[in-house]
Amino acid sequence: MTNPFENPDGTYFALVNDEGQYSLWPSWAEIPAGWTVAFGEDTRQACLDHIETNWTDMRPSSLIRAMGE
Amino acid sequence: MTPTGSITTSGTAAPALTGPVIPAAPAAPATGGPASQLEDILPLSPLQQGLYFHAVFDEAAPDVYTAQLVLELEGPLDAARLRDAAARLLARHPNLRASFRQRASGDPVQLVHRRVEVPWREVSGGDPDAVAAEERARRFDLARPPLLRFALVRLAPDRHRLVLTNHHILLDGWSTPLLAAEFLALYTGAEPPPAPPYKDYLAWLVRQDRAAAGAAWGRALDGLDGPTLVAPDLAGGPPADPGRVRAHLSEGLTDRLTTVLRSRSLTLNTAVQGAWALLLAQLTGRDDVVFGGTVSGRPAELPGVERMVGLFINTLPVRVRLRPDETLTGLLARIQAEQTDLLPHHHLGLAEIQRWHGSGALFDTMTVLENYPTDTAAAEVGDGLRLTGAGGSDATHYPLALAVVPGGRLSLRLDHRPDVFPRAEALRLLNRLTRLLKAVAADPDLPLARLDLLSADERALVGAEAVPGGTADAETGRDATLVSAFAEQAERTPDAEAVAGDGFSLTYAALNGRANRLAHLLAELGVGPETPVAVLLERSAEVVVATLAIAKAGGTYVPVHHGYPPERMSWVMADTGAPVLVTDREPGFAHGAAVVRLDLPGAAAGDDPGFVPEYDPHVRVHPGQLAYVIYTSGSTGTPKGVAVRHRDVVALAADRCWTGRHRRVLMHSPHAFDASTYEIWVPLLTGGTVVVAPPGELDPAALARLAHEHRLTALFITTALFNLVAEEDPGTFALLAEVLTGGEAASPAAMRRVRDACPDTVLGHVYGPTETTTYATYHAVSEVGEGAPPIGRAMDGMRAHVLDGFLRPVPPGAVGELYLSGAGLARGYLGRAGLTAERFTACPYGGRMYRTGDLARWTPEGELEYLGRADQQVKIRGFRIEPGEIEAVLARHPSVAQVSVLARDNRLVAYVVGVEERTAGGGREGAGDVPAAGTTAGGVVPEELRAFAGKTLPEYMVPQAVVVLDALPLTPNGKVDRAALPEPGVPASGRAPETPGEERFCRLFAEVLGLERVGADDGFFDLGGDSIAVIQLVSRARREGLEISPREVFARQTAEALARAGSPDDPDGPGDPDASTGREILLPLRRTGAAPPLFCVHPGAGLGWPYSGLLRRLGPDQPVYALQARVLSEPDYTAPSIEAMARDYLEQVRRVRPRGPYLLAGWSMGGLIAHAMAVELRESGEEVALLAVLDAYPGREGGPDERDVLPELLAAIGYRGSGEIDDVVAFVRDQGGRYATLDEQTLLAVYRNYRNGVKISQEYEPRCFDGDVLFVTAAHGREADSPTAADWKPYVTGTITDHAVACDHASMLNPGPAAQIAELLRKELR
Repeated sequence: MTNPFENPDGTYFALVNDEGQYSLWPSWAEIPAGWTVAFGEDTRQACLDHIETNWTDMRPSSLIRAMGE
Repeated sequence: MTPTGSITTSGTAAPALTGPVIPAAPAAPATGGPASQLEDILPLSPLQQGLYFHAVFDEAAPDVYTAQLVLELEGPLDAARLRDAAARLLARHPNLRASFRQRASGDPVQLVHRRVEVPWREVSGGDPDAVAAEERARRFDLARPPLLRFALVRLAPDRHRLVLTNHHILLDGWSTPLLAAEFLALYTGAEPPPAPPYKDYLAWLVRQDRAAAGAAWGRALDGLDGPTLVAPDLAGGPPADPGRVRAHLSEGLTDRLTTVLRSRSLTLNTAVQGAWALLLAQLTGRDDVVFGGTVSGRPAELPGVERMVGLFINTLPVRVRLRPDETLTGLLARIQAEQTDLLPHHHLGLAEIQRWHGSGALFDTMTVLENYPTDTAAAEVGDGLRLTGAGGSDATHYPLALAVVPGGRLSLRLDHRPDVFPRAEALRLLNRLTRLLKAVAADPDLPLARLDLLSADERALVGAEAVPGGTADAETGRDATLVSAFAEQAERTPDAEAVAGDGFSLTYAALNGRANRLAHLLAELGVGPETPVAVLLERSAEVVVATLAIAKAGGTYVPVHHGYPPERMSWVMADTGAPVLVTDREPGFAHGAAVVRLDLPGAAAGDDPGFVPEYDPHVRVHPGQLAYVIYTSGSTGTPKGVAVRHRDVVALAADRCWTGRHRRVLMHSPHAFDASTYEIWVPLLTGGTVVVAPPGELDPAALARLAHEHRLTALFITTALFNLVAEEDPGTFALLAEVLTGGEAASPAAMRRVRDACPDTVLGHVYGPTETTTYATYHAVSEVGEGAPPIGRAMDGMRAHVLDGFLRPVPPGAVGELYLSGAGLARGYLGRAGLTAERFTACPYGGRMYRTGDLARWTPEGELEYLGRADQQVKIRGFRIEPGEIEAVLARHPSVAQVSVLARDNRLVAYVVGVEERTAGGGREGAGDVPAAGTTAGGVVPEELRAFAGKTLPEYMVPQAVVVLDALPLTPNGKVDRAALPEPGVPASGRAPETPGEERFCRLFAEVLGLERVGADDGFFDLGGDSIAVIQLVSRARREGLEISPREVFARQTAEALARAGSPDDPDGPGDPDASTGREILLPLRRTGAAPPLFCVHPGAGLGWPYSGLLRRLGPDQPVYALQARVLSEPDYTAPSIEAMARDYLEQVRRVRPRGPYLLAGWSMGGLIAHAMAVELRESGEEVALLAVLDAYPGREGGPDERDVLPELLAAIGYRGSGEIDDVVAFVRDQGGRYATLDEQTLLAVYRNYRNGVKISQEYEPRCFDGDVLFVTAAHGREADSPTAADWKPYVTGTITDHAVACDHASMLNPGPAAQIAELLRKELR
């Protein structure tokens, strides 16, 4: 069975949570609590490109704040 | 051959038949002379053919295709009349009088007999069920008609039970009620109109367009990725008597279901098939499933077909593709449409469909809707006789077969093979099916991904509930860091031992002080929060100091492995951007970092406490900060750095499973692999002791010594080493409180041995990817059954989810992919946002989860079982490897067009299609004509490719074999068919053993190497043997009383040569006892062969044995001699100069080879000597046909210190211990027998020789050789200023051809590199 995150023909979302962390997510699946759609629905690659472009500091937001203090 | 129509016997000779009970061929027409017993000879229908095959498959086993109809009769009954009715029934239906035979051609035929006796028996009283069971148990002989029998059981004067037992090949379930009705009508004297004969149907079959049907089935199954089997291992096994479980839907539910289906124009059969597809998908972990669907098989266009009696039904593939976003209704409508399209093609047999599709068995489960035409229950027969009930028995050979009977309450019946699905499991499946039908009735527009297949109990067991609260990866900062946790521990137990090893010990206070000093120094170099600091250190206490110091400075440690090639080292430095490198050597690779040398005086960790402050640097560290980055193989061609936080490691160390037992933990895993996280931090954060193993690989003996001397309480070892210890000396672990192992498929036998030998030692089976901080699950192994023990439950704070392709939790027993969430989940991959978002995803149960790519299932007890990889990732010797990374590297080579890498028997094999093969069209099939590994085929040079891979990949990722193919075999879907890739060609003679000695060694080789068969001339190393295997071989041989030493195996290599050892006619062996020491100056490795002999000159240590690794690949025609240092035989000898050695050896050489051409080779210092010999020979006018210099450089040889003498020497004798001289001597002595040739004195002589060699090498000024040089560079472990082949230019007038081999200097003559070098030499010599 193709893993739901590995379907080259599938459509996906780029989800983001309140820590600024991103997740690829198949568009047919229910969006888990705590996550919102940042991009998509679009192809897998387009979602990954969006994530590469926008998730530049991979530290969670709260850590960025804590380390900045 | 397929049936071509009915064949009557009238006027024709009967076809040739096989079998003992063939009736005499009818000699005359039926109308004259002795009447033929045969009325007709007919072909078989497709389903009949299938049943025939199953019936004759195993004639001893009970035939599960025995069906039974039981009629309950009340009222006065005339038994004789009933019997007469039975006879008439048979007279009216020719096909009921058929027997079945095979023609000589193998095709079965059915013979219709004119007359058959009706098997009839009457029983009075007794248990009617027992009678029915007896009737069923008696097997029908398909060659003896009729294949049915009657039993009339008289229960009371007016109560009877009629049992009609038949072979399924005669009748299907649809026909039975027709037959019963006709039978009872005949009893009453009625003469119902005759049904059209079965042969009409057979004739109709012949008229069908089989090609069109085949094409339709081919389309229906197009792109199917393999069969759907619930019991793949059962194929072909004898059928077992099935078990049977039943369930009934309530009337209300049946009504609702009927209404919903009707409103959407769906049939009940479609709903059953849809539900079964969903169940099967989850059971097998597939989203494209096939199962058998039973169709009535009665073609509407055939007049009177609905009244025919015979076998019509057919079981045909139902292929269902599931899409997560499709609704239940959508799915069912699609199934119904697809099945309707196939309706005209139902006449094709399954075997033929499989032929059209080009596959074997497609399925092993089936469904049938039993909507038979008439209700046989409760009917007036006549003359006061009433039919009050009817029942039956019918079965299939499938592991699971679902029958659905429509009615006011829908009835479900699941036949199951109890050996595959025990009753409880079958009941669970049936309950799941009921829930699915309930879902169809309740919410037909639900998308499949939302469909829940779990019962409440199952949900609880697999933990499929959301975690309250934890929605995001909140960095609260409340919990501890490595720094704070260690500081607390150091405060609590300053004088406790924190680090220990051979000859050293550090208290917590001392470790703290040293780490603080280094931390200050790092801070001065600019290390602050999350600054990556690369660490390249030999295993020592400094590893612990540096690791702790980097954490204290706020930095992130990035351990790199000294086995990486320079290019990979540089890549990691660049990828992390580490500004500082902590090391104990000259780095030897390009980088822009500041270097902290712990081996040089004045380093922070040194002995001068005044140099830098010892107090805590008090850098603020957040628990969410990164503690380390560990690189693992990446499938897209570059490694990926797993970024792990402080709190992840703290959580690992705090797990309750360590309590009490992990006090003194052995640190022996490479620092660059995540087992070291456990080894360092679990003891350090719990007040225990890190016991540092000496450098080098660990073997069972060293392990036992360390356990004893350092009072170890726990350690982790890889599966490979665990299995070896279990094999050699399972009691080794008895001193320990706990042994942890895992990471690869466990060997139950090895675990059992250890459990038996060490009943008081806890055996911890651990599992976990680097991404979840070393270990994610833990299982204390108690009982070891047939299979591998489970990997257990999630560790504290962590959660495991086994999800299917629609991200739904799977029920216990079903296969899914394992996802992990909770404590220990790393931040992600350093600087790889996209990759992180793919693998660390949102979790349906809160927070994030890591997608492991591992297949797993829940046991009924709620533990996890590991079932392999969902992708191609493999583990070899504990190293996690993505074949994709290797493929990406190999694909960069200009000769490579296509490549596929896979692991076979723990070896990596690369399958390569060369650019030339591709352009040539690749006409040949991929399999079949496989060049042996190591041969050259059309442009791709395997050894060159391996060397190429070795430049960027660590040694453990370089494929051991390269197989060149014309084309890669493809699946019907166009993917590489990995299962069809051929075994790498073993360059083996395969000669069967001829003497008892050969036989024993062949068997021992096969056992140790896990091979089925080994030829007497097959080389141990060519078959995949390595140094661990050598030790296994020696110890097994000893157990059988065969005295051999590891060096014997290295020297002799084949079963033939080992068996010859010690016999008087041993041509390889020493002729007289004095020469049997293996210390002679000219050591013959192979005397025989027509070619000019190759003389190989010893390296610095003085021994020539390692050159035996060249033998196999050089071929049997190539004699080989090794030159060994004189000091081995004359301990007081000191060679004055290289030239003197050269002259000395030439004298020896000339004894066996007085005139040229000469072939010379030398490794390390031997290269200098060989060069000097070549110069001498040329000056005396001799021809030198080959001078091969293996990683030797003029004026530079012998740089390493004393400690480096040993790897070379020890590798040669199979030793893998600590390297202390006493230990080595003990090891050598333990080898025993006449081959333990190295006493302490000799070893000391070797040392002296080496030191002298260093001296005279440096003094040596080579003269010029007027010929060519074949040079081999050891590609690994090179430093930036390492000498190169070009350094020889002033001393060679001819061409220097440089070849790189993927190994470091010391391991050049290990089996892998030696084979490559031999290959290079062989080509040169051709």
